[in-house]
Amino acid sequence: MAAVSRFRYKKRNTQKSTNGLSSAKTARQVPPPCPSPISCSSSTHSASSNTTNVLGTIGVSVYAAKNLGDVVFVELPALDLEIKAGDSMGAVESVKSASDILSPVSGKIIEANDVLQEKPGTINKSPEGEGWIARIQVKDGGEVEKLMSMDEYAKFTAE
Amino acid sequence: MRLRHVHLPGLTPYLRASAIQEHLVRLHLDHKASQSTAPAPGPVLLTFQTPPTYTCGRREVGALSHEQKAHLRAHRKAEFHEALRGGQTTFHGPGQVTAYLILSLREHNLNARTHVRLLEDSVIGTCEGYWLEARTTENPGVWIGPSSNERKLASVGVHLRRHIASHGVGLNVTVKLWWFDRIVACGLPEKKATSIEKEYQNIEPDKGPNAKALGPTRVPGKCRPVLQFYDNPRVMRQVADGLANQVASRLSGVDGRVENVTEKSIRPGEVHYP
Repeated sequence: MAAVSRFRYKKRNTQKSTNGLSSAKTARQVPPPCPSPISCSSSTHSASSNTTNVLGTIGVSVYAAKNLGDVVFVELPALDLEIKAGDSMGAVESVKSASDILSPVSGKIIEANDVLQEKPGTINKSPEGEGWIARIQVKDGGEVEKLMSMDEYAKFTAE
Repeated sequence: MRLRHVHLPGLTPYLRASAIQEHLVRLHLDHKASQSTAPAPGPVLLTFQTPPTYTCGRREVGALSHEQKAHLRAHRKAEFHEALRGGQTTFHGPGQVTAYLILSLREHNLNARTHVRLLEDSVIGTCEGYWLEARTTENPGVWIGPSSNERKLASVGVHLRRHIASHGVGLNVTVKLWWFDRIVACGLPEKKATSIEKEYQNIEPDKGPNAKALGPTRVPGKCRPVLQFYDNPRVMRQVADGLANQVASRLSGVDGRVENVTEKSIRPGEVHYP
């Protein structure tokens, strides 16, 4: 019986040392909270008030690309895919973590950036330029207006 | 806030563990959608062992041929599933602590990179408790040994959706390592897998006349923790608890404490999985 209780004591000790050795909180740099990694810049074709013809470009913002780290794989949306705002339309995989890309607006995917399949790193080099992910035919122009403007986004990420 | 730790005893089918994980992710997303009605679920660590299962990562979903899948299923000795996590093909099975950490990145001031780093550091901290010097290399995951002969002790793979992280690490404790020889684990053909049990044998101080000299001297006056590998449930629980403590100590916003809870308390009702 004595042996058993001694073992139990030992076991408790064991666990303590498991945690004790490095449980001291390491002073980590606290990064700012990461906002939605997806930015949507809309480029209205010709007459801007014509809501049926709004084309949007969906991509990752510079801020989010920095937070993601090196992108190693991009899952592009299928062409002619009809999506609702907030639906998953693909994914960006950086080192060991795959992040869903959610569409900020409803509409139909009309083009995907095939360059990313060969060179996913383009997203890191030029997230808001050559590293765009997809172009979308926006269904409801009102949704675009509800999105953050570049200034608002800059302010939001600076917080 | 505390980290809730759910340890599922015995073997849990992969899809069952996935269903529990999905439920937790759903709670987080519901909370995001309407903060007033759905309460914040807080961070949960789910640890379990599965029957032999191979999973592929997101970039391989739908890309594996019929023959490859048949090879992985190994005449029904193993299961094969597609996962939406990062990383590539890996193995989960008896003797591996598979740990899913479900949390909201923003709640803990994390981003995609620091979250993976936190998982890796927690595994390293857990190993330190057993006097094993694990580390990270240029390749993801947790490694042990000199750079000429690195062996992989744990794999990492995370899925993010609206800043809700799921999936996590697979830490090999007593797992049969030949399961890993059948695949190119994580896309690195040159590297071998290892387990805590195997590394423990390498530095077991009870062997030979120089037993004392063989043991590491990092913590003078302290006994090296005993891991009774013959008692699998106990060892798995021990390592899982160690990992939970390590994760809790590193999460900002968590007071470093772990609350052990049962599966029922996080998921009322039956788990339905295909």
